[in-house]
Order: sequence, then C-alpha cells, then structure tokens
Amino acid sequence: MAETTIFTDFLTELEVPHTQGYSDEQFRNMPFKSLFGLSKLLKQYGVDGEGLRLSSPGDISRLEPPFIANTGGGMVIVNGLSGGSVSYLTQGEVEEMPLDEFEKTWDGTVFLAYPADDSCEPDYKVHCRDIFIGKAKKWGLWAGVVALFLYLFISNGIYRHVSTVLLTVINLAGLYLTYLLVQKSLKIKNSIADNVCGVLQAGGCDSVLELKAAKFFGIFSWSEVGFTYFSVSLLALLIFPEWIGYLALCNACCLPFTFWSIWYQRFRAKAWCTLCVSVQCSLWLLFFCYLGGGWFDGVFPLRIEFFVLGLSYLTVLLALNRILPMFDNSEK
Amino acid sequence: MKKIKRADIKDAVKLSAMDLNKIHFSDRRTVLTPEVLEKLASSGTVAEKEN
Repeated sequence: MAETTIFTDFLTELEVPHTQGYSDEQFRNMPFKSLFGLSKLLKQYGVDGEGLRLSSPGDISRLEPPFIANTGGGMVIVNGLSGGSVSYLTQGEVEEMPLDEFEKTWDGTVFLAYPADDSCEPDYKVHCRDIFIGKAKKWGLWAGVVALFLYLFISNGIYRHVSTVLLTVINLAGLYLTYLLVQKSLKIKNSIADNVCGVLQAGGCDSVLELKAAKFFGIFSWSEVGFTYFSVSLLALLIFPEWIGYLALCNACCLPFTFWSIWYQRFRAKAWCTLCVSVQCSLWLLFFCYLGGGWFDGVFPLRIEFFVLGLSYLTVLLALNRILPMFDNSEK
Repeated sequence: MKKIKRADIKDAVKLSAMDLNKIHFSDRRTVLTPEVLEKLASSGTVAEKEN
C-alpha cells in the first residue's frame, strides 16, 4: 500500500469511512494546501471542523483527540493524551513524548473535527467496489498465470527430470532477481530489493546501477537483458521443452558476462551489487543443471529453432526497452 | 464513527478562514520523532504560520 497522507490518517483516527486512494488524491489535489483547504475537504466528507488557537498550553489536555496540532516541524495528529504524555501520528508513524516537552514546540494551534453519524467519503460504495474489482482482477491474473504454469509444467513432463525441475526453479528465481534489479534501475522503491541489496554492501546496488557500464552499449540496461533472458528461457522451457539443448547453448554464451560483471564490480566500481552477484550465481547454477542433465548433447548441428529462440530473446528485449521508460521514477 | 465533543475553552480564539489558510502543509515527509521536536524546541523553532 502506498504511503498515507495526514488527511487519510486523520480520517482513520476519526473512523470516517474512506478509501485511501481517493482520499489521498483529493488531499494532494486540493487547491488550498492549508488547514483552510483541509476544512473544505472535510466538509465534503460531512465532517465539521474548526481551528482554534489556545492561549494556555495546558488547555491542550481539555481537548478530545484526535485533532491536528501545529508544531515547529509541521503538523501532527494527536491521538492520545494521558498520564502526562502525548501520543501522536507523524507521517503514519506513532510517536509518544512527555506533554510538557510537546508543548514547547507546539504553537497553540489546533484543528478539531466533528464527524456526524453519516460522515463518509463521497461515492464511498462505488470506490470500494472499484477497489474490490481491482483486487479481483489482480487475483484472477495471478490465478491464470499459476494455472497455465502448472498445466505446462505437468503436460510437457518438466517434472519428470530433476534437472528440468531445478532449471524451472532457478529461472523463476533469476526472473525475480532481475525484476528487483529492473525496479531498482527505474528508481521504484521496493523494500525487499533494499534488504537484499544490503547483504553484501549497503547501497552497493545503487552505486553499480548508476554506472555507465550498467548499460549494454549504452542502449539496454543489464537488468533489462537479465529479465529478458530469464523470462524467455522460462517460457521456452515450459512451452518448447524440446529446445532445451538450445537453451543450454544460450546459457553457456552468457557465462563470459559473469566474469566481466564480477571483475567490474571488484576492480572498477569497487562496490558489490548483491542482486547482480545473485544473478551471476543463477546463470552458473543453470549451467551446471544443463550440464548435469546432459542437455548439451546433440545440440549441433544448429537448426532454425535455435535462431527462433535467439530472435525471441531479441524481440522481448526490444519490447521491454520500449515499455520500461514509462515506469521510470527517476527525476529528469 | 468517533464522537468528538465540541471544545469549550473560553480563552480559545477561533481561527478565521484567512488564519487557517496561512497554516500550510509541508511537502517534506519528515517523521517528527520526539528527538526532532525537542531539537526544534531547543533551537527556538516554534511553528510558523507557514510551514
């Protein structure tokens, strides 16, 4: 779920029915980005509000939370006052401090809201229905993907050989790792990617991905290339298992890149990208699976299917290269 | 729905629409921990009308 705004946090504390997406959008787009704007917005939700300036700091204890208080650093939502301490929400985080310390940075201004029995987000039921439909579509999509995967995995006999089962698992892992890498290169925040990246070296992934060498001839990012490789390899293995020899050959062609990548990180970038290193390991694990399964046998002479596979890699890479800039979050 | 009792503080000054409009929301997403607020208080930074 995306980060909340002070508006949706306040609505949650007031127990006013609302949807985060709509309410946050209304807050971000309000014409007056002030307490005045907030009061107008709350009115749309059927919530009456007023701003007060209290002359005596001690008067804060006479107010009933939740309410918004203005401090030296910005506005917070006070949601508890008891035992000489104040509990408040700041950027969605709950904090607590002694009341007398809080009063030192508070300017005496509060905004109070009084929800009515029928206070509610405008068109709340419609928004809830839209959220439900969105979730149902997402679950439907994943269910379809899993069902198709299982069908192909079983009907094409992938499960019959240990090597092909391992190839499937490693391709899936490689796909996920390169997905995280693609997100990192597009500056899309992902806490899992941040946690994995911190294993070898904190900030290593970001340092390496910023380099010019992170792009293949300056055109394709290595993360795009990796994502293409694992996605096409996985699909080809599932749909055309008879091409496994050619998949093995393509994998072998990728191995020199692993040496270059490790060398570059060690001696040029002087930083370790955990995700990149994990992808190199995946390529080598795939190689040993192909080798152990005897899938390099009878690869030659090459037939047209090898070139079709090569063309598939290229086409997907070009398509990704075209689509991904639409998701780029980096500041231009 | 939370039932909030209307504030009844005699010395409190009700802010007009213009007063409310002077108190802006900041674009910064700083988490105001107690340490941050105490530092602001000790540096003499009390809330300005414009954040």
